Amino acid sequence: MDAIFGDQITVGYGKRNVLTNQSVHIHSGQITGLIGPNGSGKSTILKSISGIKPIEHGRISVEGQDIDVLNPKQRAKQIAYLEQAPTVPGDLTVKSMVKLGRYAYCHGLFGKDEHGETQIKKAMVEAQVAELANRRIDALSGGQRQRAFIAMTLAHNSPVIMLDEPTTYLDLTHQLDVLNLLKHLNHTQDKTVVLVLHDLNQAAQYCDQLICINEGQVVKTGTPKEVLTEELLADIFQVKAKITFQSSCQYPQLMDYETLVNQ
Amino acid sequence: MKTKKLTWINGVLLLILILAFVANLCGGVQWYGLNQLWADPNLMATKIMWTIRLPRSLSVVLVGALLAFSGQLMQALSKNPIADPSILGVNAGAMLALMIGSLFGISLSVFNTMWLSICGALITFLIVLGLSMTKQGIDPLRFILGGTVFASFISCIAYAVSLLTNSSVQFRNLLVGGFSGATYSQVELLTVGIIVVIVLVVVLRKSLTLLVLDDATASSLGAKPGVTRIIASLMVVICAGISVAVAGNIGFVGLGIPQVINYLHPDALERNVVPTMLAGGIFMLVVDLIAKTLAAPTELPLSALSAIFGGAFLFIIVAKGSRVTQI
Repeated sequence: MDAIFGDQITVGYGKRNVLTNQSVHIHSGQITGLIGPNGSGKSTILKSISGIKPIEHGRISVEGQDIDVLNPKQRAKQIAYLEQAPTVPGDLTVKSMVKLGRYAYCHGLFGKDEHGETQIKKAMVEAQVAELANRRIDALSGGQRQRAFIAMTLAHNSPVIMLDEPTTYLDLTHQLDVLNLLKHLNHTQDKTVVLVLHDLNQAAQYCDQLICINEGQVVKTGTPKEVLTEELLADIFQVKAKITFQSSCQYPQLMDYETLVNQ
Repeated sequence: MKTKKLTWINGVLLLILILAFVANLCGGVQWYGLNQLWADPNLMATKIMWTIRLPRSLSVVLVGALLAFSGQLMQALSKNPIADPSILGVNAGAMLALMIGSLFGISLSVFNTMWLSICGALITFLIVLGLSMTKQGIDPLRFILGGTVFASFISCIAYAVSLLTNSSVQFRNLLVGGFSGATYSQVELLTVGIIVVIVLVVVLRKSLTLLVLDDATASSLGAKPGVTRIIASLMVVICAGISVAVAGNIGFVGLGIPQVINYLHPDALERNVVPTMLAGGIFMLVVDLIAKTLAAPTELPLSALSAIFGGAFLFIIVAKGSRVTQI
């Protein structure tokens, strides 16, 4: 079943369309990776689905519900979206920031949130930042920060989590740390995870489904094995690489890659 | 644990506020005891306490609270820790509007003062906001730089107007700031203003808290950052406008107080509104007490005293580096 279905969507900035009449299917309970060169429209798709960037034409539904009929709070309960580089005040504590993730559930004159405290604690435990609750954001390492942001998105308690380049600016250990956390959330809570990734080996290893986008067009959708072919790498990324399958794993890996640009 | 700490901070600040209020009420050219309030109403000292000092002290505490809160809101709006209505020219805009209105023959009644200063503050704020807008929203650096330049420009015009029209004495309170001549009508105006602001804060505090985030993150949490920003801007204009209408152009209160509170209690905006307002009131009471007693019977210019403290604080902020982190 599709957790998200974008039907013939057109979206742009000013007069320039970034995506024109493109359709995307994102399966429920899976990890879907959006891959493609810089400026191809990956982040725009995430922003459109999360309602931050309104679409000009087409229709987007989440868990079978048209997002146009949802108000911002209802939408936030369905989809949690994490920007590539969110701006937060450095002197905010981790717990205060995670609390912001409960905004959609606050109601009434005094902003009551019946399950707030429980959900905040749960989100911090799941994202492994409970012990950092009273630490300031600017006192955290890059990996801890990213986990704190993920805790904020988990506080939404939404079935879908979307992350724009969650591993950018992180060293390899912290990249794997974040990806393992997302995999764990997908397995244990059946969350649908959508993320933009630039490392194709990581995309192949962690994602169940890949959507390749180039120049505003959805070029190919399928399992990593179906999408990551030598032809696609040459056509879309201008990279010559060998695709290999190690005996111990089921996903493809890029080997001996080199750029085709200027060749 | 955090709630306990905040309650403790609020309790201590409230106690200091009461003490500072009593000191401000008793202090002046001559010091009077608090019991003078219940003495024979025909005594000069009692009359002074009721008709001059009490409205003044009430105005001082309310203006302090409004200015501190407007600074806190402006820092959240601009995502910049050195934003303040005086630095960005909002106070100067309100002041210039009052001067021009007066020179064009508009009587400076409490009502006229209020709408003139709010209009002046609003126009200046819109211009500064316009100067700082980019396709991605407000650019914090352009906001501060554009605002600072525009604030100087407006202040120069105000001083030029006062010199060219020989009205420096008439507008002394506006130009240098001060509470001499504060009346109960002004207290009423400030009370209405602070009630409007508090009601808006209670209703919108969750949305106002999200102002510190970038628009995409705030939207993803279910907020409407564009609408919140407009309401918050109007709140800044109301706070700064009516403060100038009563006390003239006093700067730096909104700069330092929110920073001190955030240092003592790093937390979301909604939980730091009350301590920020209390601390703003305390600061203003103390500075006003110094202004009226240090060189009595001459009253020192309040804006200069406030700027001495604020300038020192600005220096510390710059020396320590910005505390806003873009991740």
